[in-house]
Amino acid sequence: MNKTLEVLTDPDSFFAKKIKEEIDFKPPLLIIGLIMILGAIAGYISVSTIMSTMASNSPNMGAAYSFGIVGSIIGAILSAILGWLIISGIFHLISSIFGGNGQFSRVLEFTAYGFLPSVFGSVIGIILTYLLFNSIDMTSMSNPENISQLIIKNPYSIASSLVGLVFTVWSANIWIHGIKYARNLTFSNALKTVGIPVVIYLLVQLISLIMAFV
Amino acid sequence: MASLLNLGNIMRKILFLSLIMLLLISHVHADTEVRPTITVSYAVEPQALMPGDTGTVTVELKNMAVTSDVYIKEEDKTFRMNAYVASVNLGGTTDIKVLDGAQTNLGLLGPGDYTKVTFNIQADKNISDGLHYLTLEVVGGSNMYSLTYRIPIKIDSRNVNLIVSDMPSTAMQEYSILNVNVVNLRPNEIKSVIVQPSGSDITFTPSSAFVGTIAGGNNSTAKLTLNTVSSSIGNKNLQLYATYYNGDNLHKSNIANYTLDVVNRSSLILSGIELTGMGTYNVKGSINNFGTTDAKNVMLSVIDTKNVTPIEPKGKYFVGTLGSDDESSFELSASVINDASSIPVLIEFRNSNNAYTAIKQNISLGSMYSNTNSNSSVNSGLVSFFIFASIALLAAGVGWLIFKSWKKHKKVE
Repeated sequence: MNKTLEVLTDPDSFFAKKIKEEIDFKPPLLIIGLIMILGAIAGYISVSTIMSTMASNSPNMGAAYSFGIVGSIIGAILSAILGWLIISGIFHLISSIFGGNGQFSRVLEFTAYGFLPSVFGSVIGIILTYLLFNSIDMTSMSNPENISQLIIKNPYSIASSLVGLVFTVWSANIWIHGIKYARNLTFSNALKTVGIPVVIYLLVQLISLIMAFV
Repeated sequence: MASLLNLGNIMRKILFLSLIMLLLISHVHADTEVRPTITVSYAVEPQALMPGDTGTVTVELKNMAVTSDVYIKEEDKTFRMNAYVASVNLGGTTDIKVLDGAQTNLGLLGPGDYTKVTFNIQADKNISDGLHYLTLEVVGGSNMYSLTYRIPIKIDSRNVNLIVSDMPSTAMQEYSILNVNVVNLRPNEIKSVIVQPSGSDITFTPSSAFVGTIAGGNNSTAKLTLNTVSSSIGNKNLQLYATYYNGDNLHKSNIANYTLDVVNRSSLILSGIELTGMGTYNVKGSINNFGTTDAKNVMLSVIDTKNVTPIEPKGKYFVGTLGSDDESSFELSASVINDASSIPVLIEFRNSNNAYTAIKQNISLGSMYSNTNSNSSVNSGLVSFFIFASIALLAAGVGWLIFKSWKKHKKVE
């Protein structure tokens, strides 16, 4: 476990050692599994609070309530798996442009380590989500637009988004070193491979955060 | 004609024999004569004139005989009881002009018949107060004697005064009721009295108040609503006067001047504010009617601004009627963006005249928090600072880790 945590502080040394070993999906699956569980917990808190409010305002919402809860859990699981696969695929594709070579399975393995900061980020996210829904009196609200506006403009929600951005930058640093070894790239090309999609993602996130207040 | 009869108490009736005689029957000599009895009465309108006023003097002549003929047996003579009035003339003075000349050839007045003759008169502007006399001359014809009589005209220059007994020296930005006492110092009644208020930066409802007729030596009250809701702070001058008719003459009363100090205080105030939540606030408190008049249809609502959004159904709160010295609780909800320092609240109501009024008050997020005793209240500013300071520290920590890893990587290379 301590060896795995080394990726957070010294990713270059970690991946330099790891590339010499056989591909091992146990730690990556554990990380993605944790992301799934934490995502499901955050989703459950959000959806159950909103759905119970809507159910109290209008009867016959029991079925929708159950569907919403199950949907949020499935959504968290799928987004973790799909996120892992899609991000790995993007890195694999972009690294090919910069002359990268290496197995996709190795990219998958190393990319998963990059999600480790997100585990901590998810824990903080759950705490902020809990505080967010405790700070909002939604019993008097029935208009979904009001609810979404309220959530978006809440300081806890803004804090959660900012924490997500910080942990994404941390993940990007791990991915740069991981892709460098997984696709046998120079540091500069690895930086471009990871930097291009991550910067685009960060810009989209920042713009949507700013747009919510305009 | 009918108005003359209605003048009742102001009509001074004189009755005298204009021409002598009644029935001189039997044991009389051959030169016995029987003549008709005429009564003369008059009325002056208005009862008391002011200098410069015009008025009317109406003279009524009535033949008091009951039969058309009187037969004297001893004389074997029949006397006709018709009275012939040749002319009626009213003579003016230097101070009171009679605008009409003498009225001639009024003709015969049969037994019980009467006629009225009206003269227009005008008092001089500089006439002195007191009684002035006009000379009435009735010239009879045939078997009627003539007569001359003095008709007194009363001149009284006393004007009408306005007194506001409940005029406050200081007023809030509110509605106040003023009771304007219109005092008629004159001996006669005045008609069509209208009170006219005016002032700068203040308004009155109604803009003028009709009082009607006020009897002599009497008073009547006009109720006005003074509106200082939108007035700026400071001293305001206001004037009150009345217009009225003395007979057919329009007059203006003495002007009553008052000074009113408007202070920066609304009649509807919010108190006991408790704020709970963060980002979205639940506002609980009391609305108090600090003023002297009732506020009807009171409703509070959060004003939708760039930084503050009302949250339904607590975006509005209907209170209803709030009497003077009355209070009611209210509850509002609003979503507030971090940099907003207060929640603007619109208070709408109608005054006793049903006039719509809206005033704006701000519920300060900072100060209200410190004033409240609510345990559930959270200082949003402090919490936000703590959260974003933590994020800044986290970002610095991550930045340091990235910097360290890059530095190590360069060393290895």
